[in-house]
Amino acid sequence: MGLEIPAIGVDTPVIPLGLAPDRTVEVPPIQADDPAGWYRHSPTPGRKGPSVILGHVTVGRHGDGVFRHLARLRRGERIVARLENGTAAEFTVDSVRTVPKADFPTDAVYGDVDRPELRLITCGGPRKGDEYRDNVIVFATLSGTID
Amino acid sequence: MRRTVLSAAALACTAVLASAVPAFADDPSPVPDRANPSASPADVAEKDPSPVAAETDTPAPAEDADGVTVVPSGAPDTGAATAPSDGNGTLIGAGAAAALAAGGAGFLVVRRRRAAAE
Repeated sequence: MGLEIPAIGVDTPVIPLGLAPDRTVEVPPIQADDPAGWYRHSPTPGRKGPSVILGHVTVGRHGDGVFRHLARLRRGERIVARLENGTAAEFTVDSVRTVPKADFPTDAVYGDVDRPELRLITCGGPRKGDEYRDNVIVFATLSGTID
Repeated sequence: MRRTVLSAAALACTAVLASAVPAFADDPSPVPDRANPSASPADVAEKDPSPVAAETDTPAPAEDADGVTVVPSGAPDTGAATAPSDGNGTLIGAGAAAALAAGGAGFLVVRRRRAAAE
C-alpha cells in the first residue's frame, strides 16, 4: 500500500500496524524516511468505514517525519491511497483538527460511518518534554477510485 | 548341453532382475505420494496446529470489514522528539581537538630543531 498527499509532498509506502501490548495503536518505526502505517483493524482505504493511517511528525534525531506538514492540509485537498491490487482510492479532505491527546476523539476517529472515509493521524501542538501535547487528525471522504 | 542351457537361462534372469531394480529406484515417480492419502496436508495441520491458529485472542484484520473491528485505547504517540545529544558529537569534537594539538606540537618540534641546526 502507498499514500500520496500532493499538497504537502508526501509519497510514502504504508505498512500494516496492529495493537501494542497496552492496547494503544502501534505506530510506525522511528527511522529515517519513516513510512506511514495503516491500522489493520480498520477498513482498507476505499471500503465503507473509517480507514486509519498514522505517521510521525518528527522521528527523533532523524528529523522530520512523514506527516511533518499534515496540519497544513486544507479542506478540499486530495489524498490518494494506492492499494496492493493496483487500484487506488482518492479522498478529499473534509477537515483538519488539532486536539489534545488527553481528549482524543475516539468515536469520531474509529466510530462507524456509512461511507468510505479516511483518517490521517500524527502528533502536533506544543511539546512537553519529549512528547507532543496534541494530535493532528485529518478527516477525509472518498471522492473516487482509480483503476 | 542341458546344463549349459539352464545356466544361460539363469544368467539371463539374473541380468533382467539386476537391471530392473535400479530402474525403479532411480525413478522419482510421484505415484507413491498420491497412493498415500493419509499424509495429506489437512491431516498434518490437524495434528500439528500452526502458531497462527494458536493466537485465538488476536482479532482478524478489518480489511474486509465495514468498520473498525478493534478500537484502540488512548491517543497515538506519533511524534518522537529530537533526541538529546548522545555524546558522539562531543567525542568527535574532542578527537579533532586532540589531532590539532598533536599536529601543532609536531610543528613546534620541527621548528625548534631547524632553529637549533642554524
